[in-house]
Amino acid sequence: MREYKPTRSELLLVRKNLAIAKNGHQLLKRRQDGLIAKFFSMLDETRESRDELRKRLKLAEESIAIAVAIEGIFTVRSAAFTRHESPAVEVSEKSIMGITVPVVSAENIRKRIDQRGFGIIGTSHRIGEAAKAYEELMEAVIKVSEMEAVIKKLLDDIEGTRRRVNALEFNIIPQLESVERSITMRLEEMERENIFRLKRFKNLAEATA
Amino acid sequence: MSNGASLHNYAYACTRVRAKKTRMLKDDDYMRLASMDLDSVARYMGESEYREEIAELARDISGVNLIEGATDMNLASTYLNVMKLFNGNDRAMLGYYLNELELHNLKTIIRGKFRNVDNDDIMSNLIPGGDFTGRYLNLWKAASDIPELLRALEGTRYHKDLTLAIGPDPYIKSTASIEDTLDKRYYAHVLDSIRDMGSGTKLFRSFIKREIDIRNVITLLRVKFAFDTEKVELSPDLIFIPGGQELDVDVLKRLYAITNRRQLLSDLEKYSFGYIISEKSGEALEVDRPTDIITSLEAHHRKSTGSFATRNPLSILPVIHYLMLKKNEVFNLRLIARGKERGLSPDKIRELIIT
Repeated sequence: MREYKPTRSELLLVRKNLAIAKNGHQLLKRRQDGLIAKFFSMLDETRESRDELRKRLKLAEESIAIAVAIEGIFTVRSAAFTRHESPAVEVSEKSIMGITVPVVSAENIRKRIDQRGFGIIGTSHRIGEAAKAYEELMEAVIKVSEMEAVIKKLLDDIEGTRRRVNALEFNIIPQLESVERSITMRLEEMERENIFRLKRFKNLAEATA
Repeated sequence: MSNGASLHNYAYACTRVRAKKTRMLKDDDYMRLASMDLDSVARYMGESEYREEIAELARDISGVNLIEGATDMNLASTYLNVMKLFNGNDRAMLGYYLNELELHNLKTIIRGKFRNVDNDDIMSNLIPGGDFTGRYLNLWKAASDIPELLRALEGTRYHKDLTLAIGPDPYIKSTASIEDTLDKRYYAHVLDSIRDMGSGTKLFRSFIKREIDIRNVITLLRVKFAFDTEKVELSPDLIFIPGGQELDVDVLKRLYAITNRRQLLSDLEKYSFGYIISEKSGEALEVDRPTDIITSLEAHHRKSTGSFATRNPLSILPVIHYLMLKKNEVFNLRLIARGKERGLSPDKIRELIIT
């Protein structure tokens, strides 16, 4: 912090800075509270999505295990030859409380039965179910990846805001208050000295008169 | 049974098949196998009816692939051995019916060629035995795409069906319609093969027609319970096999037009398999998938074939029923081996075992 001269103009400047710092602290504190509330509401949602992802992963693994076990690995691999489109994953951005967060969207994940590429009469429903389970798993993965990226961004911002709030609360504002106090005291001291000096001048003037 | 020769043929074949049936694995065996580890399952199979295939394939493959390869090979040789029990028309009729393994391999080749899959990769996914791993091996390997495959198979029994399945459009967008047409041609061939064989084939025809019904209902349910079903662009003429016993294509088209699943299931209840639909429809609607209905319909077809076979001991049905049971045995062994490899619990494996 720079050196302050004990002048009235400096006192006014310090008071102005202190008011700005207090105002900023209040705003940042409110932002921090808002971000924390958003974080916790998203945390619950992300936890649910993660649980859903785990459930879907288990289902997908079981579905493919059943398809391979009943239909045989050759039949399942043969059906996999028909896969012809990879899902197109796109990442864009949106703003949550001024923070830029990613939005992950994907196309061609869930396929209709007529889009899978294999015949419906001869291909077992178990293979169709395994394909469906993996499509649903992929959707869940994309949803969770977006939510976790948002959560991480929120956490980074909360941390940054917390550091700024603490800096204001425990460093800048106390320092400014201390400077304000010392300038005020110095100014008062100077005021008293001035009065004393004036009185002395007055007494000297009366004595010589 | 059209004549004395056929009757004699059936009597001989059914006796042989009965003997083969006694050597099949029982439900208790599956339950025991489900509790064993994979090595014990392989050891058990090496000492069973599958020992020859295990010994033959053990040089090239091992573990669970060995079990699957051996069971597929055993099934193919069972089909051949059963066919050898018959002569003339009966043999031709069975030949068409047992051609499904070839059909499976042809579909794998078509899928592979369409997606430019390496020949070795296609080969490693063909079921051992039959024309495509035998005499036509070099023909399909030389083809680089589907039109070339079509030209390569000229002169073989698959050329006509494949020509029909591919159609005149030179730009093939998907193999799905080719596969569905081939599946429909498969049943058309089976029905054609018995058209001129007289009344002796009545039971077999009826069996095939019931099978067509079941397959059509399964297709119908799969489409109607599929994701975004209202947007599905599948022509009923493409996906339904003509020639069913209770449901002809017109009935199926009417059912296909029903958009309300509850209404569809209720309409299906009036057919001979309707008791399954009424039993399982509530759950299917609740979980939004028809898996249980489909599994029960398949079981119903096996059981009804078994009862027809018992009522007609001197017909082709006991043989067909044996082949169905044999296929189940192979499926169950594969289920146990692959289920263990993939970490399914013994209870889950027991639940999935086809009885």
